[in-house]
Amino acid sequence: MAGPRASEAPPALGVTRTPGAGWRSVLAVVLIAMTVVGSVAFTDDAWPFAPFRMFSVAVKPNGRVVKVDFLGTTRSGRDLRLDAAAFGLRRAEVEGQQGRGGRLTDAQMAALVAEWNRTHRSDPLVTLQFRRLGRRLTDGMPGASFVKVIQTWPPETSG
Amino acid sequence: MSTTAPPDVHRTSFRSLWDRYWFEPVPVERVDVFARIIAVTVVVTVLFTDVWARGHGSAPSEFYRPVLVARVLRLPAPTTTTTTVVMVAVIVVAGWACTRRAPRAAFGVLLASYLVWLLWAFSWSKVDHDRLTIVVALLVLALTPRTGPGVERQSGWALRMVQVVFVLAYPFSAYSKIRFGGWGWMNSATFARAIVRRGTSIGDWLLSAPSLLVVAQWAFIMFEVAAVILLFPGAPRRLRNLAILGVILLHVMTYLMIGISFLPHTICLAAFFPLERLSRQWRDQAAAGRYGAQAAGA
Repeated sequence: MAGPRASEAPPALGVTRTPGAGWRSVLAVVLIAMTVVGSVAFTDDAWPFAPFRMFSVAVKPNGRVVKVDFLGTTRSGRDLRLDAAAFGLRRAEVEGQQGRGGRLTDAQMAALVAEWNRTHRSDPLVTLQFRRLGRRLTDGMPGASFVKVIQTWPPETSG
Repeated sequence: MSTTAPPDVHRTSFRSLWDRYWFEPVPVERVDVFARIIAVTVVVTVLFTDVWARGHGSAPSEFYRPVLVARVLRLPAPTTTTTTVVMVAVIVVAGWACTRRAPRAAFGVLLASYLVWLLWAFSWSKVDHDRLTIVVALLVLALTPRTGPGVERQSGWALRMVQVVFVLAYPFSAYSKIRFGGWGWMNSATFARAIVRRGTSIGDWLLSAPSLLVVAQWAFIMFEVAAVILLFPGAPRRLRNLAILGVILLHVMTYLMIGISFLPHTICLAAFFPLERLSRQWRDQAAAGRYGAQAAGA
């Protein structure tokens, strides 16, 4: 087992180099280059060399802040307010998959219901609403809140 | 007669500067302590702070969107069983890594298992941006021996790599705010949005003072840019200490406002400190004078 040893002197000019200094130097350059390129050109798909995007979204001081949740109704008539964690997901993961009009696909909505019902067989969900919850900002201060239903499962059919 | 230095002199001078920056000798015990801190942090993340990642084992696979590396590795969506297996593997290997026996093998396996954990965590359309530094830390620890010729300079390389990647996160985080949020980011309501979405009691209190939040955004981005001073070991000590204090305050402020600690990243700040003083073995040897009076009193 290695014990402490006296500090080594830095290598003299052009005399000796650290064993493995060459490939370690190359690795240092590659990792730094990937970090830089990832930050300026790549997307999250290139993780771990992705841009450092935390808090990078600019919100207008007179805009609005939104998040999503779900409202389920069970066979016994109970209304359950569910967040993404109820389905094994994070809210931002659901938000990251919203398509046109903020909707999820019907297959995704059906899969959420199936996942919930798999573990709650005695009182399964019969409907699930995907909702947008928001608060309006006035000069950066939150004001009135609102709720909007984005879609419902089972999908509503016309006629 | 020419006064210009010959090319060989420039080359030797650059090489000398390069070696002094990347291969500054540090006690092996500093890496020992740092390695244990990293291994314990990995365990803390899989057991506590990443508890949501375990949920992916039962999440509908219709939401699985593997990132590039996961697609290249053809990593299928996790199940409850595979998630549990990887979690147990990470914990067991982290325990091995803490012993510092066969350290390169231990950290190689820990890196591989933790990468699988992270790829499964981030393949659902949301990537956390606080993991690059700890992944690099695991990588360099997997490449750094505890014995052999030049081991103290190799240890110095490992810690310098962590320091550099740690610091780069800040200016590039500032860059991302401009890249994605535009030049108006500093005067926007970004912090208000973050607090509304996942606030704390302190954050909720700050919502009533939007001007203060804008000031905080300016301070945030200025600290991020100023952190580059930590890339220069020769910079005045007072400036470097201020930068370290700024980084700590930045993370404390973030935690108080929205409850996010960025633990896997912030813990890598340890690479800047003389951790060997926490090593009983090093203290005993220093007291016995093996490091000489200067090291003992450092």
